[in-house]
Amino acid sequence: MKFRYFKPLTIEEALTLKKVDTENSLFIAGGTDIFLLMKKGIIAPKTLISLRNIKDLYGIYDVGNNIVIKSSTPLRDIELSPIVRCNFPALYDALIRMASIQIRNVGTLGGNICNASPAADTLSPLLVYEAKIKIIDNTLKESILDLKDFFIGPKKTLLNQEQLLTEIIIKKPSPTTSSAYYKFMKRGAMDLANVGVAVNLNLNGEIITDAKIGLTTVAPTPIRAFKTENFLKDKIFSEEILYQAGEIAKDECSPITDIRGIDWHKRKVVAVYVRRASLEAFRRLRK
Amino acid sequence: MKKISFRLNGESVECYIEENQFLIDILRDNFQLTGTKEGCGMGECGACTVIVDKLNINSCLYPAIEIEGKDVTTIEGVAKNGQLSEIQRAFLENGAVQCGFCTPGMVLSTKAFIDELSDNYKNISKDDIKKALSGNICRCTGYLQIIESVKNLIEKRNSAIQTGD
Repeated sequence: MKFRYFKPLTIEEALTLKKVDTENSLFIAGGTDIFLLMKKGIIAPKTLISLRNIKDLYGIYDVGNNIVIKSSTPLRDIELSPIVRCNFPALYDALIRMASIQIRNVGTLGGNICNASPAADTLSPLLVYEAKIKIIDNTLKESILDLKDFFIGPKKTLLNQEQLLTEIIIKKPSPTTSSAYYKFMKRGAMDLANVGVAVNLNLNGEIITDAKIGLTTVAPTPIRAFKTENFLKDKIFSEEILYQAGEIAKDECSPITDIRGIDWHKRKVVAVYVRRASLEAFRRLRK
Repeated sequence: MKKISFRLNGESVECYIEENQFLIDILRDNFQLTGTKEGCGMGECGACTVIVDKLNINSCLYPAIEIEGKDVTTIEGVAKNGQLSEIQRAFLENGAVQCGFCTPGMVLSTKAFIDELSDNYKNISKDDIKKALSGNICRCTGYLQIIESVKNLIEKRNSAIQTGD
């Protein structure tokens, strides 16, 4: 495994380095996914451009109506952030169940997004918060995109070779909103999601005024369960309604049988976890 | 070859590295600190765990070149002046060491966990300990003794604080 490794200190410097040999170079943040692919011989970039030492890509900021998480912020910093824990509990649920502390101390949120695994834990929470992402290209032009439009296939995104993901922008929740993430895995830690379900509910008393549901590992990309969301809208929160919602969500996804599980079983878990995550979001709102 | 300087077990050190080396390679090959073990090489088993700037990380996935200016603690830096640390003693007393391959990583993850608590041991449950060590795999003892070691250590420290020791 032979490669050059550069440590730029600014975004501009990183993008300039990328221009030198765009095809054979890769941006790398924590590297906890990229180095695995390299060690397994799946990819062999000649040059790695590290994003770890760029101050502008680090930190969690309270900006007006939004919380902005810079792309190279390690997952563990996000999990320990009180801002994240109180505003985005589903994201917190996902972070503390990801990999190990060792990996979370190094791996980044931007990396988890760009790696675009259909099983990525942070993605269904970010989808139910309707997160946006900021991308910069090599002419330093910035654009903002809905995260839900970013994924185009397993491990495939709209990001091209000359672009860099710089920020994740999440709108602060209203006080009548709460969320939760449920992850089905074979062991209690160090495991990928067999099924991941995030639910974000907005309630007026007992009435669900808005529901957002994000699913991972049950489609080629992380998805929103729009049919289920529409069904839940304006319904009175009840066991029967949640049961029906689970049944709709189960038919709305398209899991395959793979190393993580059997398709019909994943569907069953989706139905159960839509109910459980909804109930947990509801409970949190009542606290 | 690139020259880097960093702190290693409390001392300032320098060394020449290749850009494609990982931290574990320079610890074992350049500094002969072979207490850091390579298990899976894929960030799953935690045998290669070391502490970088107070955080436990997998040294098999950490580029050596990123260590410039940082503070690294390996298992060799945990004992002081030939005396085992409290954590190491707790592991011994509770029979938490069998083949020993996972032990350096377990000790360092425990150290990162205990240091982060900074003497705030109240309400630390067995589950918290399990979570703190979930990135370290052991194939001999079955974890029970390891978790007991950390639990006993925390209890000991907690009662020392309460009695003003």
